[in-house]
Amino acid sequence: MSEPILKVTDLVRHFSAVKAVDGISFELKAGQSVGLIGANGSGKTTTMRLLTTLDLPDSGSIEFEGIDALAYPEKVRARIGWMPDELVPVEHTTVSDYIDFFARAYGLTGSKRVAEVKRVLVFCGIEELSKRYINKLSKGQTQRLSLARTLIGNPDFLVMDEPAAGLDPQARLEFKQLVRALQQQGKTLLISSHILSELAEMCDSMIFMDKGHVIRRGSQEELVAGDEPGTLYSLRCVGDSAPLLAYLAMSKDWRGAVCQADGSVLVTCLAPDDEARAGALRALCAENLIWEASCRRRNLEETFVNILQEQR
Amino acid sequence: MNKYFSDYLPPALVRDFRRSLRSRGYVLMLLIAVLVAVWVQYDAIAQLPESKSMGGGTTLTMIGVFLFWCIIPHRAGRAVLADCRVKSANYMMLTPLSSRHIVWSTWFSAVVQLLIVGGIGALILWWRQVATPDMPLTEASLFSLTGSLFPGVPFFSWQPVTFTQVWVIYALMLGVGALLCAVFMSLAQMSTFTRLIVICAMATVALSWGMAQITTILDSGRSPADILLAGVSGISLWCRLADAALVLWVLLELARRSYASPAENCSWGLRLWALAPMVLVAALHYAAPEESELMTEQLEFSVAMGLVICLCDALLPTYSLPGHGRRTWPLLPSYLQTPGLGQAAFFLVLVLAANWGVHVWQMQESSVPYLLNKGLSAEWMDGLHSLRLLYALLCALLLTDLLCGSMNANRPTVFAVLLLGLDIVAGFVAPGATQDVYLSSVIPCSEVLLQIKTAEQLTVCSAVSAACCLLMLAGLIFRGRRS
Repeated sequence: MSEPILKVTDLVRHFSAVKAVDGISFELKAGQSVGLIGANGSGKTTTMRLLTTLDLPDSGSIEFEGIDALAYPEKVRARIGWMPDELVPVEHTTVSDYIDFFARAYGLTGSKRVAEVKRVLVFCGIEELSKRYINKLSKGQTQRLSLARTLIGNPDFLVMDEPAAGLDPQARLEFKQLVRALQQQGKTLLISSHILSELAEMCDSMIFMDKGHVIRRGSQEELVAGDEPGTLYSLRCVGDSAPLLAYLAMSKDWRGAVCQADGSVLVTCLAPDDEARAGALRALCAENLIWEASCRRRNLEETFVNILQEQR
Repeated sequence: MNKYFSDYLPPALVRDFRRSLRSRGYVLMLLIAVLVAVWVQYDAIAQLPESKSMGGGTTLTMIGVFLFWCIIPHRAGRAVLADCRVKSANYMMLTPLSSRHIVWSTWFSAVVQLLIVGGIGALILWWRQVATPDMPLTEASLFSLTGSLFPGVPFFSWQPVTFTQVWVIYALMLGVGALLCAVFMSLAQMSTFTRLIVICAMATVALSWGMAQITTILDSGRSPADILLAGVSGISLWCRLADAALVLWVLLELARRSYASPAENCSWGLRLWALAPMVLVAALHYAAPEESELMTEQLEFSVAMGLVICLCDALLPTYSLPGHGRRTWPLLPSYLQTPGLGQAAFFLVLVLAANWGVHVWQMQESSVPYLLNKGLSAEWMDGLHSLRLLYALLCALLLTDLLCGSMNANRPTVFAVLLLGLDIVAGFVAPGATQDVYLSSVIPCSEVLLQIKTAEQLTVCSAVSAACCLLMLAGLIFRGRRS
């Protein structure tokens, strides 16, 4: 990894009494893919708008490759691509006209412009739709068009706000492949999404946000491991789960027991080593409370929800 | 032709022009209007042996007004509005295109469309001139249909006009059309309510101007062409062109804020740049070798335009920066930021400045700057038509609010209270105003009641005024009950 491409320090943006972004700080390195995760209203979109110079913070600083993006937004804009959660169709505009305008806006002329339009349309797989009106496109095609527009000018840093929102599984899969191709090109990506499993596949680092704050950041492994000490177990009960839950609540070795939809109980064992964990499990068997225990890894959704509950 | 010819044109112009050409409804409307114009002129020429003069001028003028003043400016406004609504303005901010470039290109696109359509109209006029070089033209008085409102005035009247007058008026219509494109573009950034009241303000001024036109035509018997062309020569023509350029600059600077990034919109640079034309005019004024009344008027006009910009900057939110703390005018304390107050103040300034000005302009036949200098006189109170229009306007707003039910609950009320407050002040300060005038300003119905009681000057306007007053009162009562 190289030097930070983006450095955000104490960024604040309030809308009257609403603290959309309340003093966040983080860094992104070139070529990194980072997922921005948060509940609705946690400040993800506002953060992204601030990073792309589309909004102005009340205070704080944003540096893009050492350039102050707040003082010299025009210098960094050409290097940033922004893909919003939704591309609202423009009337009386075809796909090629739309992309062509942005190619012109980036100063491309003649055959270079034609080649650039073709390049992004081919990359996003919508070349055959070039003569179609934008308002006749499906949701998946619109998102591809939005990505094509974002890629005009070949920006180094791409900001994607819920890029896969509203897409069917097939379109989502195809979109994921496009993102992978961009990663291979060495682009720096900042992606927000509610589908955390997909983000986990696409991104090598995550930022968790809540109420305008960054509450945790790191790789998926770091986040999951650092979420809580102990080991996660899935326990199968003998009969009713109530006696097991009551026992776990009384025991010092166990914490956070949650009954799952399939009847199993998900619980964290706080015992420090393998021997102690084995002892705790044997105690459960001796009480005739469980007939199966399996160790499993906490997934990103569970980690996120767990961290949110801790914060609140 | 080089297949990359369009590379030499501004991107926004190419985009907007393509979009217009792809809009079937828009193209169809232009074509139908042109075809109607051709048909009317052909019909007029075909009847030549029987008729002693050429008719059809009014139709051409009306089609021109429809296309140059309504359709094409509306289209230009919609281009900006669409960018704001679909967030295209956001995407454009990230490109190297400057906000000024986008706005001027969009305006140029509208002007090119004006010139194309205007060129077709000019061809039709030229055809008519070539076909009948010696035949005198006649044109129906623009407002003759409303003559029935005035006792003793014929329903329909014809005015003789020369081809020179027709060409000048045609060019003037195109020029005003270009300005209106900028007006509609500058309105696009405003909220729906603010846009509504500004359009109402413009309608008020236009109606006021129309009524003053009727009065002048009826009093003097002169055609609109005579009035418009009176005293236009030399320096006054240049001054008027400079005024138009100044207004255009200001309007496009306002429209530009829709495409400017938040940093730009918050910057003092943008504000100062918007004031630059005023500084230029002031510098020219002081650089002028000798004192000229016109230059003095222009200086005052530029100061007035500067005030309008400051007011807009303080009161109008932009799409790119809704309610940002850095942009709010620090002189306006939070307790004064009542919903509707800003829009109402903006509306009042707009209506009063323009309405007084146009009224006085019509009376004095002077340049635009002159009207602002002399506008603050009591002459506008004559006949109270301005007040009637204000009441009608307020009534329309309240009615719209009642029907839509989607506006902020406080805005129309604040608006109404401010308007009535203004009337009361106007009643006090108007020199020579009678008790009746004062009463009318406080209680609009009193004027009508007085007229009915004395049976004097009872016209259709009185009935309209009465209906407006009643509706306004009903609206206020309804709103009071609801809140």
